[in-house]
Amino acid sequence: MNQEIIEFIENTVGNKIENQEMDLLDQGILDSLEAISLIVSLEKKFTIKFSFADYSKPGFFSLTNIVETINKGKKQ
Amino acid sequence: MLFYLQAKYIAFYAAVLVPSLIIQYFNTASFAQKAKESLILLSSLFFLHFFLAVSFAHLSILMGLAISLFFTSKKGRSKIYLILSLVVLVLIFLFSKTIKTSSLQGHHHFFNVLGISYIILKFVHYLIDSKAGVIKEKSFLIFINFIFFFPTFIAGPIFRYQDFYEELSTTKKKDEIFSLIISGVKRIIIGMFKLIVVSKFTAPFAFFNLGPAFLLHSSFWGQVLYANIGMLNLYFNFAGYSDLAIGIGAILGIKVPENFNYPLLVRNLQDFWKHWHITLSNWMKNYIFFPFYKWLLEINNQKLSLNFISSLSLFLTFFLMGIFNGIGINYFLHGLSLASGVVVVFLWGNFLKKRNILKKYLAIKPIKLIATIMTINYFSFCVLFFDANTPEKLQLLFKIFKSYAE
Repeated sequence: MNQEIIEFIENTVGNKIENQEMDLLDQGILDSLEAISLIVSLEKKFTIKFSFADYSKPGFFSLTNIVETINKGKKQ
Repeated sequence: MLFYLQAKYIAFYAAVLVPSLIIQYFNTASFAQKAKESLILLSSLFFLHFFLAVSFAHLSILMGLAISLFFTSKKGRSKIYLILSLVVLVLIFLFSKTIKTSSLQGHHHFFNVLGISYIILKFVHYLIDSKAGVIKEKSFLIFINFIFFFPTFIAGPIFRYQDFYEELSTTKKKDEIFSLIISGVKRIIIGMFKLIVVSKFTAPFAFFNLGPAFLLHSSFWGQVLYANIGMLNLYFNFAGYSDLAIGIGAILGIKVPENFNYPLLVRNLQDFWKHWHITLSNWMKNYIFFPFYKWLLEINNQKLSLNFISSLSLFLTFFLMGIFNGIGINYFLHGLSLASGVVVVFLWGNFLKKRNILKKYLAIKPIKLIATIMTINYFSFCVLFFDANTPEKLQLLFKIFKSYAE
């Protein structure tokens, strides 16, 4: 599952992401538009719902955080 | 003279900063922590009442609003509560802006509180983040301090409650306090330099300060130069006050967020807003752009193109950023020019991206230089509307534009 999420994000971003802790928004790999598009694509693909509390958190857009949030959402 | 240099302000800062330093230095007990929070709160209320002329009646209304929001905002509250509270806050915001605009036009109104826009932004942030469960730690005294914190009251930077809580509630080590004080003093000196030297020096040459007769007889390039100086004057003034806020905050042991990061070196308007009034940009991104863009993407069903949705969301966000300053034709045009500029930059970037030449384009140094110059000039053009805050100035601006159309 985790690998599937990572591959999905890497395909969307169009790059291999080496550092899983790095915030894609802060590093300029994603801009604000792409970040929200990614959220919506992830919601559709993995049938979960991100809350405002999730993606407004500073540093949310790292692979680790996104994977963790999706896994948490799947369990609920 | 700069108001910060008047004797009463210096006396006020001495009366606040010296006890605050003593408390920070001996801050080992929870009593000392409460003493510091109380000292900052009393100083803020004193500053608002005696220096910003916020009456007791206004302070009571704002305090009442803050108290009701603090005790009613929590996770799990119904959406109707959130929507109603937001509507009330937006109405207060619009009302205060209408009054401010008419005050500028020579009328005086009873309800005209300086810094009200920033208070509303903080209320909205607290309300939404509480409802979403983002705010975990709550303290009434820290919340009231967050709303009325005097160094950032008039012109920001805008704190996130979570960061302010962290800053005020954490006991810092002595070496950290010492380095904060040093950096605070440095920032105050830098801020004073921007305000006293650079801002004062550029003020006489700023566009509208030159007078209609001079401007109407100036060449195109002369007018461009004065518009740029006007923008620089605004920048150094605003950045100077931000430096003072950051410096005073640091001496109080509170790291105030940065508001500017070399905005005049960026290559386009989209980037510009990551470097100019950063805390307002972040607020707009979190509470206007993200929800609106996400909502459009969710309801779209591929009827509208992604380009259109993105442009619309960017336009709305930056238009609101422009009219945040007031209600009036000039602020409307300021918002319109900012928003149009950002959308054009976005569409141009997409055009290059689709042709797979964006990376090459971005790497060309002469283009970067031209892009930076264009960004500065376009923003200076937008600032002309911002500065045209009287009917006479707006008329003068239209007269100049008309002379080019003829």
